[in-house]
Amino acid sequence: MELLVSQTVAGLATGALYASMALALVTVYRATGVINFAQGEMGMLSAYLAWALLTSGVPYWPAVGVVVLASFLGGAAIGRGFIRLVGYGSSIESVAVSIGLLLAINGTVGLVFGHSVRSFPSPFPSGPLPAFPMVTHHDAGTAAMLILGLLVVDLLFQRTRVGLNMRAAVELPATSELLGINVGRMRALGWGLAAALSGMTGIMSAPTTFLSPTFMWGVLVYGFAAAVLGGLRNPRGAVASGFCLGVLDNMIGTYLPSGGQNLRLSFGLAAVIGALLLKAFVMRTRILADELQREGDQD
Amino acid sequence: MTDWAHPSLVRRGGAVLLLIAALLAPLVLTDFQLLQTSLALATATAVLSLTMLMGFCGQVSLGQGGFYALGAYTVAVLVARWGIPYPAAVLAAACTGFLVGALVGMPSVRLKGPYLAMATLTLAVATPQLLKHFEPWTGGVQGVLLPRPVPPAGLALSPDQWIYVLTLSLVALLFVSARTVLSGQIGITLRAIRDNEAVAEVLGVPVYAYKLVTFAVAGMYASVAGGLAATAVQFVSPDNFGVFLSINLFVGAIVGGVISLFGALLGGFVIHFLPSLWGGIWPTATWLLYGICLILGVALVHGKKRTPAREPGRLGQGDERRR
Repeated sequence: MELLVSQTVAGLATGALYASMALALVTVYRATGVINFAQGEMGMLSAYLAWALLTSGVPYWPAVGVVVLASFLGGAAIGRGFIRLVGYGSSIESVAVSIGLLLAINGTVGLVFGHSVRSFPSPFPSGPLPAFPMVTHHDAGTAAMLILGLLVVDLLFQRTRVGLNMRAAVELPATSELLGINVGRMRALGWGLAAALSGMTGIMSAPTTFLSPTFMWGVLVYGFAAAVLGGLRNPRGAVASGFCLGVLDNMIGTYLPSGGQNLRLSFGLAAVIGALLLKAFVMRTRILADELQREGDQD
Repeated sequence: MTDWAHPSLVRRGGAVLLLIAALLAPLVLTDFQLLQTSLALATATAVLSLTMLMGFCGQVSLGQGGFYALGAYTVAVLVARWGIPYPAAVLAAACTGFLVGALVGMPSVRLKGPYLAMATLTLAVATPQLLKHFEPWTGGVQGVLLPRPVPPAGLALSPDQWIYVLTLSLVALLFVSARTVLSGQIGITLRAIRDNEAVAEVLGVPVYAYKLVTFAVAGMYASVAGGLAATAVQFVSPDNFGVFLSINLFVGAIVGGVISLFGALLGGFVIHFLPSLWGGIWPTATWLLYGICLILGVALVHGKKRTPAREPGRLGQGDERRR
């Protein structure tokens, strides 16, 4: 029982990573109608930037602050360019450009920092929590930080003027434009927020997974599974399923006999397929309605 | 009067010339060059599978490398563990590719655009892990070494020449049959599905079945490609089949123009040979180069041509895309 409780708490830490990635994906999807395959790589780039700052002697929190701000600005700029290039909505071109972005970021990081695996410091003391011997300080800290981040984003969306404008720009672009909202800027803002979120995710997951140019792949896959499960247009649903997946993932690692740890990504695959099956069969009507509406809008 | 410059005639003539050149290649090229050409042909077949899916059926797959790995491992396991001859093993790879393609396709083809792309990308990410996990069959991280194919006694061919001839004939067969099928009624139907699924459905096209079969056939093509590659290099290991293989194939399909079979051939050769050519200049920057190519390619080709698409909006029709 104690193992179960501890694993649930540890799972929340993993889940916070997936939830943040899912929220980043959902934010971009809502803003531009595409899945940003480069979202994980953007987080990876942020983590490398943080690493570069930290190794050159900048203290932890200022470095993280600078990197998250830089991620926000960079993400917004990339989003601006992306929309300029392929416009709104999913197409082979938009997939190609986001894959191109992925390759370009991955290639650049590989070029600048090399492909060797590096360790990344955690701001939290090492060792387990006194109350839960199975949960490390880092896990608890990660969960706390990211949950705080998610709350801030949620408040931003629900309670602020900018958030309201962003939601309006997503739902009714032309109407919002008429009401004086700069739709393009709101979309870029969405990309920026997503980049900042995935940057946080990268920085928080690097101490346990270590830095390498591909270290965000697992988080991206799980984040996507969560986003699909919770609904690509539903931020809160995506976050909730991110946490569920994290807890489930930890349970699998704990209770499955040896080798369970190696199959974590494959479990992610199963989770994605399962999520999609659930979507396709059980909630088919909802998807159908969504698609019909979108198709109706396009034709 | 014969119209000598008729496009279809030119194309057919070009294809025949290309085939003749390919058949004469063993006389000119060294064994190593032949081996590389065989591999490029295999890659081109995998790119073709993606072209079918994306160009003709409108389904974006980022997991074609998973099927490639499946084919490679089917051949490897059958030949190295059970001593089955290569041709039979490649045939078996085709069958497993088709079956697994159909199985994976059943849930997947119900998905649209980004969902399908991401689901297949997940397949690509998970492939190396799965291969490492089923160690008793796949040899885990070490991979599987295959015996060298032996050319039949009557033919005076080196093993590499023999592999080349086998690969070339099989790839030619696959391309020609794809061409035949896709230029006929089925190709038209697929394009109808790609361009407007709802209309196709209304006109009585069994959309789901068409998509599923296309997905399965694409799985088969990619699987055969993997099998041929395994035959050519006589070695498979999980890390050769990572996510970047799938992305590589995607780049090849985009480079080839997505809708043309010749483009698939070209794309296959480009992604096979470009890294080694480029490697002499700046070895570590291949991915960066690919990324820039993809983005610039879309920017140049696609640029201003795009017809304005509308965004989701509920009030009236006016909520169009603004840049």
